[in-house]
Amino acid sequence: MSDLIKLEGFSLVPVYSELMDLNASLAENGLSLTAEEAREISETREKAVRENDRIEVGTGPVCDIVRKFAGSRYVSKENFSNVINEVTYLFYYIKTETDDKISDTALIDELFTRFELWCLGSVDTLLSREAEKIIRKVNAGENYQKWYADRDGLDTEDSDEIDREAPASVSLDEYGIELFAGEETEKDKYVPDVTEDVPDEEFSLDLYDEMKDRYTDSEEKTKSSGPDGEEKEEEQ
Amino acid sequence: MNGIQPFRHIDPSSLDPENYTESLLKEGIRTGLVTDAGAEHVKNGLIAALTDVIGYYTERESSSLKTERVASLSDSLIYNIDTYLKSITDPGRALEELLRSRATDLYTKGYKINLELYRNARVLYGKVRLTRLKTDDEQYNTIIDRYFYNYLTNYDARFSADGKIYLFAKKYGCHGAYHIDGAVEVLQNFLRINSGNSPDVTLEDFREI
Repeated sequence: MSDLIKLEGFSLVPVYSELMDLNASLAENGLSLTAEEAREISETREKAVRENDRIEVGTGPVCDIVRKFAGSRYVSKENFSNVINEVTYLFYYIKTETDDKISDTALIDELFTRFELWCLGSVDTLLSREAEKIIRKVNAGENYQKWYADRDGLDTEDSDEIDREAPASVSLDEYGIELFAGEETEKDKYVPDVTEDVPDEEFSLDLYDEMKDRYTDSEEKTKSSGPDGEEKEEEQ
Repeated sequence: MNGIQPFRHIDPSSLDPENYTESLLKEGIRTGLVTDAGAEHVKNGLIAALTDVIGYYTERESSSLKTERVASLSDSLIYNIDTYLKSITDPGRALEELLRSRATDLYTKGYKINLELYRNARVLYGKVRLTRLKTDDEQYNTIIDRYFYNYLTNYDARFSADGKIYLFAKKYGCHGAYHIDGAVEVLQNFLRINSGNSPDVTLEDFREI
């Protein structure tokens, strides 16, 4: 790489003052950020960018995250700063894990939707469960439904219920509608085993006796065979 | 002292074609044509140009990228600028362009040159495939079917202008790593190989007449 451009020259633009400027709009939701909280969020963002080995131009998505999550019914003055810190760190982690396949706006929307609808305001659930789902969804692209329908409990086209164990649509594609029709099909018909013609007395033998009989038979055959390996007729 | 100014001349032999912009700037500093502040101004301009290239790459949808991706965009930016400055035959004029123009403009001009080379390469590649020799020589077929195909499919004059194709086939006149301009020459050589080197008629044919 040329020495003309030093990537260290990309220093992060501080967002502290932009965060403080947001207090005017946050007040409408009964929220606010103190100076210390704004500084903490700014440091979280710097740490997240550094630890995920990223380079950022401009102030980044932090202010957008604050604006979006301010509208959540699960945030209050007490937990708002904590939520923003966690979501900010998670944001950069997901961007790295998905190789930037998802835009900033789309990711913020996705995080907010999951936080509201599926995590019910739990940041821990967002971090532990939903983050990996987002990563799988973005990386799998159009194959997401096919590959992870079971695992992520996706709604399928044929079912209104979230079917975790055996998504109906996947099984329908694999085995055909007959399996689920409730009527006896060709597959359900009993196909007799080959050994069914044998009288029941044979199968009343103990398994050990059966094996013993087989072993004895093979021993006798070995003894009765001549030096040329020809079998002689046994006199019983 | 006596009013005589020292003759400041850029030595073309000290310019590295692989790192043309950097060596041109260094040569400018050595000869006194560029001050430290001027060099700093150029470097700051390059950072600004890289910011623009990042914006083009992400289509302004992402504010950050992985460091390794930014590094490869940086290489592409420098390569495009190198291409344009090398196209100016007089190094002195090239240095003036570097000091005076915006780095993004230099990048755009270099990109257009590399884009044209890439288009030529694709046309030549099509002709090489049409006129290919019927041979079971694995080297020949692999170069045409795989190496050039992958190279031209993945080449992007905006974001991977410095991309190289690696060929090791001395009997076909290619051995080493080639940028897009070298790839065009290799394809022209293959076209010559395909059409045959020996002419249909020679002077010996008329000697007995």
